[in-house]
Formats: sequence, C-alpha cells, structure tokens
Amino acid sequence: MTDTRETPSQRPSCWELFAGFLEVASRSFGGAAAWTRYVLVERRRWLTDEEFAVAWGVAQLVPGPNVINLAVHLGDKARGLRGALSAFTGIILVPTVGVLLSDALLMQWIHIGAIRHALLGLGAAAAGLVWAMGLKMGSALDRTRSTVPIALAAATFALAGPLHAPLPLVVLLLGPPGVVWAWRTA
Amino acid sequence: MATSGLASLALVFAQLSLFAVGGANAVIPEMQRHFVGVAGAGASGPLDAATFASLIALAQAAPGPNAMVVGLVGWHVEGGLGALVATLAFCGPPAVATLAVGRAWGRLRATGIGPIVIRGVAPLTVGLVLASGWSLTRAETAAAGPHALPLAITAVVALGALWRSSAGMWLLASAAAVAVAIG
Repeated sequence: MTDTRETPSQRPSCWELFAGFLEVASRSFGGAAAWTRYVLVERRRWLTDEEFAVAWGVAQLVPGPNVINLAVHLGDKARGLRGALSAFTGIILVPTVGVLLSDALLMQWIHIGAIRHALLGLGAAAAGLVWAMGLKMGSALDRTRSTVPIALAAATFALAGPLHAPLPLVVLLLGPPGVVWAWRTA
Repeated sequence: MATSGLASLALVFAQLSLFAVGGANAVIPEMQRHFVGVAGAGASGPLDAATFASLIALAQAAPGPNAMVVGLVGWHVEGGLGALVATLAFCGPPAVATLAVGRAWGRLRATGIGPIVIRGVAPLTVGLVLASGWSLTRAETAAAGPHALPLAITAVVALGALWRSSAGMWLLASAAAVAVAIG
C-alpha cells in the first residue's frame, strides 16, 4: 500500500479529468467505489485519503449514482463546470457507448441458444451480486446501540420489494425517521 | 409519438434520480414497474423480464458504473436518442445537486449535517438494494419458468460474493459458463 498521507492535492486538467475517470470506469467491473480510491489516491495522487473521504461524503450526501457524483464534484473543484463535464464524460458517457455496442452485438446473436443461456446465467448472477451487496451493507449498519436502523432497513425492503410501493413514497416515508434518529443519537 | 416517448423517458428517469438513495442498484424495482411487462400479471411494458434481467447483468458485467443500465433501458425503449436522454435525465439532476452541495460544502460542513444525513439514510439504502435483489430474482424466475437453475446460480453467487467481494467478475463469468453448459 502506498503511503498517501503526505501527497498534496493536485489540480488535474480537463483532459486529465476525462482520462482519469475513464480509467476508473474501465477498471470498474461490478462496482466502482474501491477502484475509484485506488486510481485517484494511489495511482494518480490527485487527493490524499482524507480529501478522498471528504469528497466521497459530498457525493454520498446527494441522491443518485455516487461515483458519477464524485466525478462531477472533483471535476468542478479542479476546473469548474468544464472540469465537471470532462469528468462526467469519462465516467459515464464513454462507458455507456461501450455497453450499448456490446448490447447491439449480443442482440444480433440472441437467436443462438448459448448466448441466450449465457445472458440468463449472467442475469441470475447479477441478482446474487446485488443480494450480497445489500447484505454486506446491512451488516455494517449500527446495531449496537439501537434496533432502529435494522427495523428501517427491513421496512424499506418490504415496502420497495414484495409490496411494490413506489420509490418516492418509500423514501419520503422512511428517510426522515432515519435522519431524525441519526440526529438524536449523534 | 417518438417525442412524447422521449419526454416521458426523461421524466421517469429524472424523477427516479432524485430518489436514488444508493445509486442505480436502488432503483431497479422502480425501473421494473415502469418498463417491464409481467407475463400473466396483466402489466404491460416495452421490455420483457428476460431482456430486463440481461440488461442489468450487462451493466454489471461491463466496465463502468452500474448506472449504465439506465442507458441500456433507454436504448431498448427509444433507441440511441433514448439512451442519451435516459442517461442525462438520470445523472443530470444529481450532478447539479452535487455541484451545489460541493460548492456550499465549506459552510455545510460546519453545521455537522453531512454525517447525520449519511448515517440517517444508510438503512434506507440497505433496504432498497435488498429490494432490488428481490425484484431481480422475481424477474429471473419469471423469465426462466419452471427451471431452478437461475435461483441456484443467484444463491451460490450471493454466498460467493459475501465470502469474497473481489470475486464478482469470476462469479459472473462462471455463472454464464454453467448456464451455457447446462442449458
């Protein structure tokens, strides 16, 4: 592990922002968070670990895809709006073009049984990855002081999953109690 | 018709983006509600369950953020322009909010509200991701009919990924190979 404590924060150019976040994207098979830290902190040394933690907090505070929010935030900090757009293009626009091309190719071959079966297998595996991610995040919830977080998670799961409640309803119903709980136990 | 299709696509994804606590994986059930027809349940949508499941899989397997699934859905519903519109509608509003929060961070940080909100919505995120696991599993069993293979793959992959998080890519590849071999 590289020592990153003394690394000063950098101010990458728009082009570097584009290339850096494209690198993050191209390394991100199944989840991008771990790779983001590796590329930005260890490989490119744009940020220290502490600066990364702060930027990640900003990205998490806002709803939506965290890694993309992080790219926009860091791009904006380095080069303003143009930097944000450069980072955005690298992290999501270019990878999306790639995935669309793969999809177009796969759809050409969908009549081949093996391709269809492979996609079904991939789909089932993707579901497994999502379950594992949820369970892992769940095990990291604060359980020592109160059962509130687990109860809120369970209620969210029941409403959004088996009960098919609309997402805005679930978030507006169960988000505020969570924040109030966090505030009172802070 | 194409214009109104694009407009409703933009509206759906812009709306979803503001409630996407935990990113694209949290909005899978909601995308399913909007775009997937459930065979036998009377619901109609432009995508069938098998196609939807394979788009999710592709977005996970391909390099890049999982939010690429939004572009894939847009592409299947409204073509190339649909992919662009869906991606911008889903990533745009959070991006603007991030710019605002990022620029005000110096002042926000002093209030101490950041960590509280992050800790407060963590249970919600967990529940939403698990709900996505649930609806993906539902979609895949609907697509597979009476076969138990997909459920078995889901269970084995979930256990494998819990055991070792870095194994995701290998698990995806093995699952595809097993599904082809068994058919």
